[in-house]
Amino acid sequence: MNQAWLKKIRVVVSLVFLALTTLLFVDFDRIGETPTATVALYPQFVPSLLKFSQTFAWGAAGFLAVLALTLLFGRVYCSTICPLGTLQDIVIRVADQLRKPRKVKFRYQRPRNVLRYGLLALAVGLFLGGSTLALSLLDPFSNFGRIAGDLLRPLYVVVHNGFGQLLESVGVYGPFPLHWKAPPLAALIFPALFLLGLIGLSATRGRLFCNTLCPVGALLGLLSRFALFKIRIPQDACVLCAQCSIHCKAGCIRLKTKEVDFSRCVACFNCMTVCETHGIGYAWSGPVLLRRSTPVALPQSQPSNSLDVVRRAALSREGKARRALLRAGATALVGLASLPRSSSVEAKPSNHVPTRLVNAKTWPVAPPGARDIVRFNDLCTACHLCVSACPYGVLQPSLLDYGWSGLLQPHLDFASGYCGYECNRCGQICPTGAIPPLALVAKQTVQLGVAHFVRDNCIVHTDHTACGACDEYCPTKAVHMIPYQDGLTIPEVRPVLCVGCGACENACPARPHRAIYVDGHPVQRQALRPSAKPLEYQPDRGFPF
Amino acid sequence: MQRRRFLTALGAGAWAGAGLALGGYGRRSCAGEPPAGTPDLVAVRNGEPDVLFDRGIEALGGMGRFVKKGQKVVVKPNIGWNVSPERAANTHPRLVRRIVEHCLQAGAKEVYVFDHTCDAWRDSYRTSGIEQAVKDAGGKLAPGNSESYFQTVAIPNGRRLRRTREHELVLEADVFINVPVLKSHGGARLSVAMKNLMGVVWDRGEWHSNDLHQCIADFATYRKPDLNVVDAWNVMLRHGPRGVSAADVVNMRSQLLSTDLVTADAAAARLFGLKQPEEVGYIRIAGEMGAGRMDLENLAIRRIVL
Ligand code: SF4
Ligand code: SF4
Ligand code: SF4
Repeated sequence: MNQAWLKKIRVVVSLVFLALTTLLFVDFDRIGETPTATVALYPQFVPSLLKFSQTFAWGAAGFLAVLALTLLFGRVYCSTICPLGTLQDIVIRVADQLRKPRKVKFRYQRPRNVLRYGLLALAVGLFLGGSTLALSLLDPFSNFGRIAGDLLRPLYVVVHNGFGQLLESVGVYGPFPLHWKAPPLAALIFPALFLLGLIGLSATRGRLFCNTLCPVGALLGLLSRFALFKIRIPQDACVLCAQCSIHCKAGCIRLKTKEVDFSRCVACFNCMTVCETHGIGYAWSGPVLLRRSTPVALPQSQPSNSLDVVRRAALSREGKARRALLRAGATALVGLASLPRSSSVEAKPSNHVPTRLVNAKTWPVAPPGARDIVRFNDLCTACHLCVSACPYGVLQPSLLDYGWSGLLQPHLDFASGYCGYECNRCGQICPTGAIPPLALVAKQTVQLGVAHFVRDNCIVHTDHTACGACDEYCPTKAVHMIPYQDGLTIPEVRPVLCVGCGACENACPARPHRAIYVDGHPVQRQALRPSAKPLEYQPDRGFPF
Repeated sequence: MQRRRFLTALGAGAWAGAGLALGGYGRRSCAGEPPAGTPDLVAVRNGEPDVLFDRGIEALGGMGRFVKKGQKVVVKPNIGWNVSPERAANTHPRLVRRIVEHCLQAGAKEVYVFDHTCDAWRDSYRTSGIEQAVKDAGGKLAPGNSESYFQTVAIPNGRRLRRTREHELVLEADVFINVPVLKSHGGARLSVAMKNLMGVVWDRGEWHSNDLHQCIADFATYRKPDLNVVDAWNVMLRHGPRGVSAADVVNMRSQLLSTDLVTADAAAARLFGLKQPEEVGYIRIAGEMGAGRMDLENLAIRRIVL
């Protein structure tokens, strides 16, 4: 039966998902707040699973659809929805074009079950133990996000703005320039190395990443052993032309036994388009097949069903003992990592008297609504979608600001921007729910940290001239100006009103150390809503001049 | 834009000198000599923002006095903050719309509107209502938050501010219309016409660390808009320049128009409730430096109450 048409559909769907997710990361303004974004994000496996583990809402149940699809047809996810899968397919295709013709593309590879299930167990185990480190380093969506958001976005912005300048030179303003605030260079090393490795691996060994390192691939692989329809080689139709095996990116077709290791099949359907007899294809593999499933010993710790993972995660999340332990651990780690950060010291002072007092920051500032740092570190996989989405450019990948468990997770960098008082975008878009969605009014009283004023660094004090940039930007008037000397005014902070948005710190021109800075809260608090006493005003009919 | 491309092509560093020399020609004023009897200041009260402007500009001789056929006009409202019109942190969109319409009616070839905003600019343009207003009126919005649009210019008479970076649109425009909103200001006391011009420069953080009042006055000696329209329809009396809520705002229903930005600021200070305009540091300094006149009692003022 000729099923080659399946590949055409597969290619179209995969390119659509790739295009949408890429656009989401490089130019969020374009589609970020449209239903299109939801379509692209809904079925992404790891983010959806994490979000569902907190909300149990249908709105986050995309991964269930993926599980159902896998139980029907195997790892269809891997060659349609997963943007990293499609990225590898493109590399494979380009490498194919460059290879000498007739050279054998791929051949059967033995399964590396210890590695793939071992890494899956590690990712699940660490996650249940309260760290997303392994998950975020291996998860395909997050890795794709970091490639598109951290590496591709700056290039896109340059091309986009270059085009804009070209138009502007003939008097047309638009497309309006996009802004990109450079993250710490060291934070780019991981995505860059990962991308290089991925290109090398896929160019030479096809989808080996998906069958060794990817935890989603491993999990869906386990499940696809029980798929109702599997790709099989009919013993009688096969003429042993070996075309299928040569074209199999996953290297999972073993001609010796005329068997397809379906747990490693990424459902690319290449085999179906090249089979001379159109023999290879999906066939019913219902209950009968259960008995003769490939004899691979499942590691003991593997949950056999992923709902189990969800429940365990939820249960364990409640565990108080674990919490306490984690908090202690995180405290130690964060303390360890509170090395001086680039944001607190800057070159090129423009004030006359360089400031002397270093900003004593003890905690990083987590995104608004993340509730507490430990919880945030538990759920964020560092996909950096919020970094791409933040219109204020304040969200930046961290290095060790949160400690190892929060490697690359976003934090608010007030040298780079500040958190807009009228903005709640990161929570709306965060696909894992690490930053929960908050209504704007609620977000406006979340206190991320508190501003500290360092009078001895303040320009009003050191230079004896007016400034007030901090007061100008403060959305709640938590920092406001009080009389100083000679008619000058100087800032004062009312901590109860402060939301820790960092607008004051970002605006403060004192260098190298700013005169006002925000220290984060390990557990976010509530700020008071500024009261709005009405003004006394008698309208005047005339003019006072 | 021609000039900028030229500069970029040759390398900004080596040609900074050329850029400075050329910077001067942005200062030409296009308004002809005012007809005899034209007031120095027009103050209008008790109407909607667009109606106030219709009456005010009429008293000043009509838009045709400022804008000639085929000219390029730049309108600079305050769009600093991502807040809605009733918060009065930004210029009222209905006023901006009316001004753009007047310019086009007077024959302007194109009318650009921009601000170097404080909050995220796309959000600020949208939430302020100014994006829609400009589109409806047939004007063009330009971005003001990209460094590439700003050119280094020399401030020959500046005491503290000797050079700064100014938006290319202002350098190239035939007519420059400054449309501030009157509001309180924590650092500078008051924000009106002179303060609004901080939105046409790039490096305003340096102004803050370099004697803010002096820098504002220095810039006023260099950049004199052809027309200043002070929006005092809604006035933020406290917590400026951003404001905390609509409770910081009173409905004054007024507007001031003047070709002299120091005069506009001095009158606005009185309207705001200050006894003496000199209480605001930069108004006093700008007056002393001769950037404009603040002696309201000696000026021809046309007062209109609707
Ligand atoms: S809420 Fe704050 S941190 Fe989040 S996207 Fe908006 S500005 Fe950025
Ligand atoms: S004091 Fe600073 S951090 Fe606090 S609300 Fe005001 S601007 Fe934001
Ligand atoms: S912005 Fe900095 S230097 Fe300026 S008044 Fe505030 S604390 Fe002082």
